[in-house]
Amino acid sequence: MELFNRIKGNLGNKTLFAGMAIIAILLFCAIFPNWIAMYDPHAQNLENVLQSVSINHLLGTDEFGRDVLSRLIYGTRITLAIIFVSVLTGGFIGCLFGILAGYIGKFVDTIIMRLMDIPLAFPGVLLSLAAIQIVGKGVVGIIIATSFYAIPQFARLVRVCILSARESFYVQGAQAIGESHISIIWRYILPNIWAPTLVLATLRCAIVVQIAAALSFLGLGVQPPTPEWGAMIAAGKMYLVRSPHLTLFPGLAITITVFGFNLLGDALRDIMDVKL
Amino acid sequence: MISEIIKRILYLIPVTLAVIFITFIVIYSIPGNPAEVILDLEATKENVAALEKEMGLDQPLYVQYVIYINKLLHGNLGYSYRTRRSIAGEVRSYYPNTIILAVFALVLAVVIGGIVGILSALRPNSYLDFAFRGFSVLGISVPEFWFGFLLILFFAVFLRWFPSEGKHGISSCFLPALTLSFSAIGTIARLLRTSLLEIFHEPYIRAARAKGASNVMIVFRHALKNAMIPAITVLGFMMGRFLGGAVVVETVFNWPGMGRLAVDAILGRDIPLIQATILILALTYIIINLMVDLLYLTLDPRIRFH
Amino acid sequence: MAEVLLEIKDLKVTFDSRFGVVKALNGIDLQIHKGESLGIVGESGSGKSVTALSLLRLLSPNATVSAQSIMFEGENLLQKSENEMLKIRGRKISMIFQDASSSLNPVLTVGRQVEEAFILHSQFAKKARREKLIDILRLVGIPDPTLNMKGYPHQFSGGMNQRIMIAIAISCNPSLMIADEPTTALDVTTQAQILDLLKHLIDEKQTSLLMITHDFGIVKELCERVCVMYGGEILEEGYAKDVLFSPFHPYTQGLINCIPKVESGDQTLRGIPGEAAKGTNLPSGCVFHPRCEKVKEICVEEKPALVTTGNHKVRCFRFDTNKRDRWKQ
Repeated sequence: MELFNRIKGNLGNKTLFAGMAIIAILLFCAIFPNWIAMYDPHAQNLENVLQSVSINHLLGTDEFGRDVLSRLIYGTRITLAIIFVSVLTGGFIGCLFGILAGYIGKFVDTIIMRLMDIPLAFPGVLLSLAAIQIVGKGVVGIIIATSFYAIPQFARLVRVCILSARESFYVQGAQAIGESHISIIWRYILPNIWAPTLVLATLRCAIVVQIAAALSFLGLGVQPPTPEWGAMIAAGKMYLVRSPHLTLFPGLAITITVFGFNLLGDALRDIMDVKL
Repeated sequence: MISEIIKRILYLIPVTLAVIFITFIVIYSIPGNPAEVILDLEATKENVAALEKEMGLDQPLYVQYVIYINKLLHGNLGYSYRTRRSIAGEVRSYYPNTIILAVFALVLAVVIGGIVGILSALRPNSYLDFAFRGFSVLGISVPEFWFGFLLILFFAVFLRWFPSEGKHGISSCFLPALTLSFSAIGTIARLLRTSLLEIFHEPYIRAARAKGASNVMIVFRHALKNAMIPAITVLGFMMGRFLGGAVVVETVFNWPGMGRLAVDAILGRDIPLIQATILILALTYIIINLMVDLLYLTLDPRIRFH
Repeated sequence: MAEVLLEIKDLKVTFDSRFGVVKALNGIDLQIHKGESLGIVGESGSGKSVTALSLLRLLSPNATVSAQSIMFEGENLLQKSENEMLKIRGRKISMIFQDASSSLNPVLTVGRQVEEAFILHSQFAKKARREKLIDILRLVGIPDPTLNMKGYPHQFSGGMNQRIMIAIAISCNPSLMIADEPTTALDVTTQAQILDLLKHLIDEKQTSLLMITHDFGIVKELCERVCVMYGGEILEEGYAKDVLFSPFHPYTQGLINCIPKVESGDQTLRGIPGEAAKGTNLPSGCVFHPRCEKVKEICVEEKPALVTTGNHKVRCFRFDTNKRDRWKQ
């Protein structure tokens, strides 16, 4: 596809390369954690509690003696799982709404858009907080909560793309010769929304990581003993002064992940020349 | 122009109504009987029935809704079930703190973001520019709460320059405000850089140089005025975020603001408080966004004059 | 002959781009006298705008400008510092651009933009500046200046905006005004009005004019002398009458033949075959030789020098007494 070709052609772009490299490493950690992690993330070792950085435990141990590095690596799995499911569902539903609103237009458009404005009326974290209230804590809760905000963003974006594509001559021409709506959408409209949607999805991943971590930090997200980075920071809060490594490293992991997604999103945006 | 303004205000009415309705419904969306949830361990049959009567939960839904709206219109936000204090009173003491923090954060975002963005645009692709750009992306990548902890570790514990939590006068504002504004700084810097670089290529900049305007004048009198238009709208939205969603930062720093109130309410399952805080924060956000929209209309002369 | 105001000797400009080094100007010599109007005619890409912009050092950072000398009012502009150039731009040498509407800042009032010239180059107090502003707006034909000076560029027509640009340009009584295709973006009627205004102003203030255009009609209206540029070089130069009615260089002849003449009843549109020379890939020898119908071997091998016959200069071997024989072979 044209997309892959463009990316291939731009691999010299430092931002793109860095972003893809980071994501690749994360994916690797998520899919094959047992290859790199030295310890079982759940293995407690009460004699080795709160140890600082050492050769045995590259990033130290936590309050239960568990190896921090291993927990971080396994945590990648949860984080990426949350991101992908959240963005994919939110994105898919949002796109659907956007296509309906954009293509059918008029009344349907107004209603859908008005509906989409409602979640946007709530500031980000707050919406997720409220959603968690309703849906309940835990991984599923985070996924649903974070996808709520994504739906209107994707819907708006897709709608705008479709509106402008609909006005274009080749679509009007296709309609004039009686091509079916489904066919028009599939052949002319969808290719146009690929690029901006991909960029938005990437940037959305960055945000979801943040929100998921924040929610877990507040105790509303992933529950212990599952190793999730935000939760690890929350747990480490009590030992902030004595053992700062408990908060330092998970936060670093989050930062690097978000950084990677942001770089990737930026690079994609520049390459595909999208105005977001 | 006036018609545009009115259109936008009218547009918000259905959304606002929906928000109010949603905060009302929140009670019922929490699994289980709300009264039972509140009473938790003390939920005996009599207690639950009594509480239900007190909260008016035995009435039909629409009646409850009307009562709810009626109370709102009278400024009665109910009573917190944990502390038994008037919510309106709590809000009155917590809200101003959020405002203080938000304003402080806004100032930091403008000043630091502005400087970084302008310097980046003046020397594009230099080492300084790359450093600043990296810094900006970092700014939007760092999780707020973690950054807060870093700052606490470094400035409060290690250097002892600032208090690590709570509200104790001006110096205690600084760390939370910096944390809150950190991602905004990155956003503003990036936005300014991109806008300015685009503007520098515009014909009117070259024409201004042909007039004999110096570089300083070009940047500040000509370029910035144009770059300000998108920047101010972004700042406005950031302000909305500061006011409406400083939840995490307030928790980390134990800052007595609306965000922390909301979190405490949610964690403590204090339903009336949850309703009230979410409602107020959402309304604040809506109003700020409206103001930003209107501001944008007045700023750009191309829109202001037909 | 009036005294020389501007003398450019051997001006060369190159640009560093992704495609390599682009040769925009390849050794230009120019002279403008006091009170004189000189036209520069050429196709897009011939280097006419680059010449003007390099005078004021307004080219982009990837440009390299070199010349033997650029003497203006007895001083070499090449040796001036940036601060000194600031005092020359808009004050001694001013410039108006092609699309006036995009050359004005959309978020500043028109009055403010004209006033800026006074602020930069004069010491007038606010009140005096206001009066001068109104005077000059009136001078260029802006109706109701007191009201209109509070307007924004998008509220005015293209012609009005061009008048405003002209106001900015003449406000400080420059010795030289450069006009880079000022009427190309305007309709014919407005074009005539603007040209009239220009003519009137430079006559009244005895300003020298460097008019850059691709339109010989404008040259005929406004200019005493004219240069014909192509591929970064001057191919012909002389009095407008001479060059227009008896052009020496085949390129000039071609250009003038391109102008459709209503009277002759001629139906065919003539052009010059081939493509304009590109700065990345200039032809060897005479820069016009690939498109010239009179081309000979020497034209491909050697570069003709600019030779003078009376008041007429031309860069073609046919007129070079030394090399003419070789051309005839």
